[in-house]
Amino acid sequence: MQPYEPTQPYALTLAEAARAIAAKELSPVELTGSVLERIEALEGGLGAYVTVRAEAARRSAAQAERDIAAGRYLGPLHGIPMGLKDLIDVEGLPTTASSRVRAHHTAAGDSTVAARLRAAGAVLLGKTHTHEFAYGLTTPQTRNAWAADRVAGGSSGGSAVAVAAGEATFALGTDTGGSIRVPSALNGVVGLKPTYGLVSAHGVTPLSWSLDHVGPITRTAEDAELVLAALVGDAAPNPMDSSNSQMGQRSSPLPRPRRTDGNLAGLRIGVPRNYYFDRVAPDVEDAVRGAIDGLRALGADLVDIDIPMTEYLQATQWGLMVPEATAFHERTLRTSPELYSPEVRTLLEAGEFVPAGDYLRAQRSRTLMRRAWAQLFHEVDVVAAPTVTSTAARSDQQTVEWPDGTVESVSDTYVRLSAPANITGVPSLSLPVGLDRAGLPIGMQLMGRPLDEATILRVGRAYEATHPSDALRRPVPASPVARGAHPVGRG
Amino acid sequence: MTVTDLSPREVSRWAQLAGLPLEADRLDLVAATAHHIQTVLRPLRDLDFAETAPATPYDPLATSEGIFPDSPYDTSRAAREEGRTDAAV
Repeated sequence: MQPYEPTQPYALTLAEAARAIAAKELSPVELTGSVLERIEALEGGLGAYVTVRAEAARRSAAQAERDIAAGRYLGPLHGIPMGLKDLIDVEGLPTTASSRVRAHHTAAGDSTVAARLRAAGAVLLGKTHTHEFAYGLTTPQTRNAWAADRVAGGSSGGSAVAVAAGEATFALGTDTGGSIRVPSALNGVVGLKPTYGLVSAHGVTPLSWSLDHVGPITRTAEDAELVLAALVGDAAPNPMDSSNSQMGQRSSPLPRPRRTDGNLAGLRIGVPRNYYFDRVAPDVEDAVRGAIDGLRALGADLVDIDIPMTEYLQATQWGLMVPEATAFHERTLRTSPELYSPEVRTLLEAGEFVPAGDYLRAQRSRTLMRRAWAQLFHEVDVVAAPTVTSTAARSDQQTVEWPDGTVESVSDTYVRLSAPANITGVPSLSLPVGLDRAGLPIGMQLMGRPLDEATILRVGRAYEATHPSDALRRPVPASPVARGAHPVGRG
Repeated sequence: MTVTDLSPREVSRWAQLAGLPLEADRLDLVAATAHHIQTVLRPLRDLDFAETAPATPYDPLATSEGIFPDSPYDTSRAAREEGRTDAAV
């Protein structure tokens, strides 16, 4: 067992590491070495990575160190080790989508996000596991960072576990119904699903074009903001520039916090009366309502709101996602269906029987929901709610039973509260707000107006500043370490 | 509107029309899953859409692909540069 040592470089937040690198107190080689040692120690038990490129990462870190020493500092991501969900193309590497279907795949070029992180000087550690082709919410190859007998969540389970366990300083995930935010919540880290279309999905294997988003998984909201700036091609803040008193300050068109002092006076935070607290585990509800009270203590006005069209949410999500996923896999379903896992294959095949009329109804319903949510955001600036109904399920658990007698599949309950932000396209930030009585992390999501990432990040930072979450960032993987049982050293 | 469930035999027929290879021993499972999907989608039939258009837009500038990166009519980019916060999905 490898306890989490908060003094080790792998335990630093991105912002802390960037400040230390900029101040020449920490070298990228030292940081990357620390994270690689952490991977070597834990990966056999966690299974967060498909592939780790240890030597290539050390070379990148050494190059970053030389560049920084020579005055060619690229910004806060320079020399920071990170993982990419294995749906994201990196030139010359396989994009396996954690599927046998992609056994012989090699990406011809970088995805836009990989290119932007490369240009920002980030160090690629490797590719992280996804639920096969992102079509699922558990990522069965990967174990929860807090409890080995619990699911990682998905589909960006590998990325969230890597960040939670100190196996990456940050990572990227994708989110079609909650796949960044769900594993982030279940592993006690921060996940940001940006506004639909804000971050390029070029070069990222799709699940559903209408709903897919790419975004960061980090340890703090401040870190998420730093990664988002690089992903949208914004000029990142330079911590070596003494005129910047805050890492988050920028002089660019990217939306940015108007205030960073933690005072939320005048901000209207919507607290849903319906839907988001229905059939939610008591510990989750208590923790999220407690966190919302914390926001009120910072000056925010709490406003009771009603979420519109809730009876059509699941139908709209499925009506968009199911036929689009099947369309993407049309050819391989006909040439090599046996290479898919049984669960994903069946879903993809059944998607062939969704008529175009159903798909168009879902698209038209989405138009109605967009209008209704736009009205909602005339009343409030942010909506606060649980990210997931419950904490991490046991790995063999298939369903969740609620006190009202309803039974829900684990996948259905995991997407229930996160999918509305995919349909409406609004940005949603999940951050850890506590632990349940079993010691498992709980997430709260903050949703904002389209392209107003700045406000939800501001609220997230204000919450973190007054609720130090150090304890929440210290998972101790419970599984025994199996050295040598992982692919460190390839590439 | 009502929904008629697909039988395994109908699934087999539609799979043939679609060129989808489905072995006989998979028909029940796929038919049951297709039925479940239809059950989930059913509420959409209750909505009165009136003149509502689908959310999917056709974008002749192919903004996301950057085919016309310098076009003054790239409205999504213009919206971002202006820092608008009421942009649509």
